[in-house]
Amino acid sequence: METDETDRVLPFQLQFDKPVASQVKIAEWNPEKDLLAMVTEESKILLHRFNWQRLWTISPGRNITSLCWRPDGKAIAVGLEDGTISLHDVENGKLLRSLKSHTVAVVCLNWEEEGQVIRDDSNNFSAYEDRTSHFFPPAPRVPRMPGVVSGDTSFMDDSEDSYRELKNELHQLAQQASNIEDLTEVIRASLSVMCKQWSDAMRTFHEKFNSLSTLIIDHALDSSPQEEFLSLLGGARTSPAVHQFLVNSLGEVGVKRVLKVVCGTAKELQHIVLDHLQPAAEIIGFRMGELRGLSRWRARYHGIGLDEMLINNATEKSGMILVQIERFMRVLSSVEQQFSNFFNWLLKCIKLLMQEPSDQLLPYNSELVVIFLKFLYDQDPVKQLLEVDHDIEVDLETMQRVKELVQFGGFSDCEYLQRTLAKEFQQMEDSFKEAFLMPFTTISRKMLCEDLLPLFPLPSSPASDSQIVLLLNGASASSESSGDACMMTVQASELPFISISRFTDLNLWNLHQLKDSAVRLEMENETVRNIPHSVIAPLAVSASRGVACVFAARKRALVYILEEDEEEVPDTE
Amino acid sequence: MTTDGAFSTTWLNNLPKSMDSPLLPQENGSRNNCDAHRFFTQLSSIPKSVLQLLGSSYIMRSTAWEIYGSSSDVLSSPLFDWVEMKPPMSNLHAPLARINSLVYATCFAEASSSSDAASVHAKLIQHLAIFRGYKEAFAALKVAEEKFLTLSKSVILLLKLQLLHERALHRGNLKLAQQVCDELGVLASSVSGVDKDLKTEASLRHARTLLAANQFSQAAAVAHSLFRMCYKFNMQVQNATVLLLLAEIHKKSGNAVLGLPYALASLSFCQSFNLDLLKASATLTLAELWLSLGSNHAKRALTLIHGALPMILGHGGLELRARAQIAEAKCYLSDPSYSVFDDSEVVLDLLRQASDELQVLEYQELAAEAYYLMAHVFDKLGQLERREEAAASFKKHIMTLENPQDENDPLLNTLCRKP
Repeated sequence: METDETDRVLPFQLQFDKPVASQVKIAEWNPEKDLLAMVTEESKILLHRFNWQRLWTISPGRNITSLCWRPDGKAIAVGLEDGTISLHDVENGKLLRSLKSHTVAVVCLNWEEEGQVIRDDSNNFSAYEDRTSHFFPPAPRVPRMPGVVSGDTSFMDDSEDSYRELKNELHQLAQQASNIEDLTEVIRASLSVMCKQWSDAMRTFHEKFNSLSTLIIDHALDSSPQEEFLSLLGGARTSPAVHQFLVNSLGEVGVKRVLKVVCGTAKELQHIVLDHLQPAAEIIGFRMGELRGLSRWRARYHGIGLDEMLINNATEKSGMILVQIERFMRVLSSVEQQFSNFFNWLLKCIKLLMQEPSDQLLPYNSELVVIFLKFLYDQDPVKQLLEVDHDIEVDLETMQRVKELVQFGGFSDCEYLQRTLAKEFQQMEDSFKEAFLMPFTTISRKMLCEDLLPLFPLPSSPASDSQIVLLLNGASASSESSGDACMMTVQASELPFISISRFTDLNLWNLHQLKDSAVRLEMENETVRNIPHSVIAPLAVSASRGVACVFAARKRALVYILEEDEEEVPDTE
Repeated sequence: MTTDGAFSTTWLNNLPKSMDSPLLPQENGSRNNCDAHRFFTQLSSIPKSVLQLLGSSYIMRSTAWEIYGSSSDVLSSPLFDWVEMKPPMSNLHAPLARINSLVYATCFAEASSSSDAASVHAKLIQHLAIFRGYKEAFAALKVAEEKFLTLSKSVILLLKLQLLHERALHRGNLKLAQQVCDELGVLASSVSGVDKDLKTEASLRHARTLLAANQFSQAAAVAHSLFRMCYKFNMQVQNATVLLLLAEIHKKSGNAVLGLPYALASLSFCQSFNLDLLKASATLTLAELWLSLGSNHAKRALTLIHGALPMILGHGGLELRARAQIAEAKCYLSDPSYSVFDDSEVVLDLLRQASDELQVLEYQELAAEAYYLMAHVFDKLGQLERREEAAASFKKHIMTLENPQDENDPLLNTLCRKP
């Protein structure tokens, strides 16, 4: 390994030699710009400019196992130990999207350009068009939980809809199924957000009004809050308990506050239904209808397990959820109206009790106050619909109508109105799962592992099409020396090339044959430069820029310029 | 705000049912009677007029899914008109049209006006007829007739005439078809420029009846004058439909080359107005035209059909689906590179599906064709027993087609007695 480079010009110019904070385990140059992305032992990603100025650092929190720039250099893909692959923006390191399709470490990443669709007439390839975007605005997103500020709650990608031409049946199915999955996620999140918000609002209401019950007991009255309010409404008498409650403990401000909380929440819920729940359910219905068409194409789709019966069932369920949403919306609006009516009445009562003018207040409907006291004061129909384990009692008339509708092609399951909205959603989800599990099992059964090729990153990188850069560590016996290594470029054309066929039998890695074609590298014949450090694994070479970054074992980064000596390459002896 | 007492009828009427005790439910038990659903039906404080408006938005949606992209005059006419207008072939998204009708029929029944309710039920019956056959549709129609007795029966009557005409055409009872068609024409006002939709429909049905009777030149004449009318009034959906009908007339008369430009014109109309299902059906006609030009066009025809199949199978009715399947089978059979011995199931499965659906629809002529092809395939395969079976079915359908029996139909009798 000894070379007398004293009489020769050093082949690679050392740009700089900088210390690094911690050991680098992966390093990749951006293919378009002079940017170097590095992953440290602590799984931080650092992005440096060519002049070693640091642009940003991010730390995904989990062990990073691979790194790969997108060919346009505008994003970098990061593979994690838990199977997540995330995409980060080159400008600021912001997470663009992430996906996790399995739980095994991602050890190697590569970008593949989507190949042109091969139109083979004999194969009768037909362009499949996703019509959803013709009819619907962009799909609704998951509603935000109020108070939680987080930029990364959803990774749904709008561009998903722009895939117009799909390669094959499975791809079409997967496209629809994943869209439907996203939309069910929207519904699930909407339901849980609504449930949370509504129970918070109701808790506020009950906290305020529970003191009335206590006051009634304190005053040794034998009645309920509803009765007290009712007699106030009737104008018979104002019991001291109610008087004290309204004027002292609740007061005008208190009523207004509760009014704001309850009615504001109800409005919020209505917005969630209108902006998220309902559109999502409608698009699901549309997509299911499209899938049903595909499922009837037996010759083509039965083979991949798209079952007409299961899809039909799922279509019915997505219709039922639309009816349920309509019912929920109506209950919600009417509850909201009755609450606000009740509070308006209370405001008026307080004004009267305080003997203040009450003419600027909103009018109220006393009949609705009675309904409120009887049916809403201590019961919560909205919450009922949002909970899974409730049975809704449906009146006979409605039941009869639903049964009659079966004759007109209505839903054959007449009991669906007895389920709550949440329960219906659960059933819909189950039916989707069942329908989409079928293709999954059918396809899985058909897949056979034919061949396995080990994937591992090579310790060399192509500097250009014709050159290979190698990094060699000197095998020095003395451990106290600073280490000794060299970097060299090898002309790829000089190396023998043997193509390894994937489809021959298993002894394709026939080492004997490969050994025969091995060549001995002679240091004197190649461009070599010694590096006065012991170097370690990642060697980042930028083919377009002709630079290489070498990491030494003692936490140093060395950047060499490969390109300048290109002219000198020919005169190697 | 609503006035006092506006809701008393809705909830007070139901109060005695839920409790005999005093008004307030502080006693045990009666509390369970309040349920979320009561807030939906009886205790809802939403005014009826708002509900009606909301409900008509669902009818609107349902109709939109049926006739998306039709001409502007459809939308500018009052609610009642566009609700009942129905070009049977441009159903864009069958499941959503049905579901929206169902949402209306389930949630807005109390608040709706009876004419709205009748049109929604008419829609549902129409859907039944197209997708599940006439038997179920007529059963539902009978229920609807009883339900909407009080109503001036125009929506239901129109629907009945439409269904009777379709069924008569399919069964091959052309005399009855013509009779029904004439009755439909009488429903329209005699003033010109009024009831345009109804007049168009009657004339379209007239042309179809003539076509079924193989009166090609008369059918073409009616269709041509209809096209002039539709073009003049910018009725785009009808334009495309009539052009397609002209293509069909030429196809059936054996002039495939003359039919091609009509099919292509219809196709371009559909494309520019987003009439997806009509486009799929025009594509199917185009494929049939190519196929009738000779077996060397079979590949092209097959590609066309496959392109339209997702739409046809998803949103097309029984008739369109069966037609597509038969056309696909014919493509395979006339393709020289296809051999029945290698893969007979491809063709047989298609024909079996088609004949099943046609039997539900009682479409004798097309069902006979399916069995005819099936018998040929079995003959080639040497499965004589199954060949005889298919041949017998073929014969049965041809016999029924030639001797249609509708006289014992009670529905028909009521119709004929009508002034």
